[in-house]
Amino acid sequence: MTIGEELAAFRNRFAGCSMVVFADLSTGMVLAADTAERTTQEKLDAMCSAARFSLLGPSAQIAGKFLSSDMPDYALVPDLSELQLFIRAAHPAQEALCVVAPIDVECDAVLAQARDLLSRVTAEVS
Amino acid sequence: MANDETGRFMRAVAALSAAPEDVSELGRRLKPVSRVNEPLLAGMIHEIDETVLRRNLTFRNASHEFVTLEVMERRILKVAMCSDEVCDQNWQGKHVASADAASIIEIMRGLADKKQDIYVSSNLCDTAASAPFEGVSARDLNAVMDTVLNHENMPSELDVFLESSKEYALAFASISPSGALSVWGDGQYAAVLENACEQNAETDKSTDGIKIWGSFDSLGPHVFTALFQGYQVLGCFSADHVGKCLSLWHASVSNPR
Repeated sequence: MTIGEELAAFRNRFAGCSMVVFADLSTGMVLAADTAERTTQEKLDAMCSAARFSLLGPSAQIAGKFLSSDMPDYALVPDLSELQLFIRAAHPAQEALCVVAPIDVECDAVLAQARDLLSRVTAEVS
Repeated sequence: MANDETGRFMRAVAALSAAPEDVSELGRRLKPVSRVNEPLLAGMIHEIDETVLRRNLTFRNASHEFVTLEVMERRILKVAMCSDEVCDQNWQGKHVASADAASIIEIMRGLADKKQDIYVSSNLCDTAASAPFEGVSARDLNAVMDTVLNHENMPSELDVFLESSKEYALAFASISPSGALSVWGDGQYAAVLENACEQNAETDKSTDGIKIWGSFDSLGPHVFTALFQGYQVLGCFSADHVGKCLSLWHASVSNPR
């Protein structure tokens, strides 16, 4: 499967999941995306920036002090109706997955499958 | 001492003394402590924290309402005297312990809440000393002040979220817009959270909301930061409670009843 097909398959596994973005945290670049509706590049870039801030920003560094790893592997950011999930690929890969899902999505399942997806696609990228 | 040395010594003493305009028959006017909600109350606690030798510290306002506290080693040993408006006469001559910290704060607030200047005077005690390790320390007072003031002024939505979080959280620290810090929970985490919360308040300028961080190594706790109306909270909870934390936030803050 191509990265685009992998992202589409991932998104379709979770009802109401509206966006999956595969991004490079080191450069802040969107590498691939799959969305339920047509969207703009600006929105994808904003999602990538949010992922960088949530996973590498000063608060993430503080949070890292309490976690078993130095930096968090994932960050969850809810708003009124949606949940943004930012998941980092295992070190030393610099990629991350950004997922926008309904607020009541089963977090554990999204996180576990995102981790699997990242390990597959980062292996392909490298 | 040579004349120039005497002059230098006198100038040094003058620099440490209160400015003449701050001293009256009521005592020395207290300097409010900035960065906190109740600067005069904080100023009174600061005076207690500065008193090492045994003294009677009298705090009074321009209406001559007063409270006299016997203080030694930065601890209030006794409420020596007080005027009727400030506290119940049962307090007169009462020796106090750390459990009385909240009551002492209420007495001091009774004086500090009058929107008047507070004056302090320090006098030698004329009674026998009690044990200096007893009493209420300035640290006890600060802890109560932070907790009480933070709690009183906290938006009810955030207060509900934090109260509910106590069922599953390991610890959390919150800092108010004015910098009042309060900490709850497991001592192992609480001490680290206290420092980290202050550090995070300086760096995190995000909009209101909650953010949860975790690690795929499930041995460690999860961390959350919550920002709401200028308050910032940093807390830890076990990895099993991510869903619980999200739903409580949504119920209490994102979607208040």
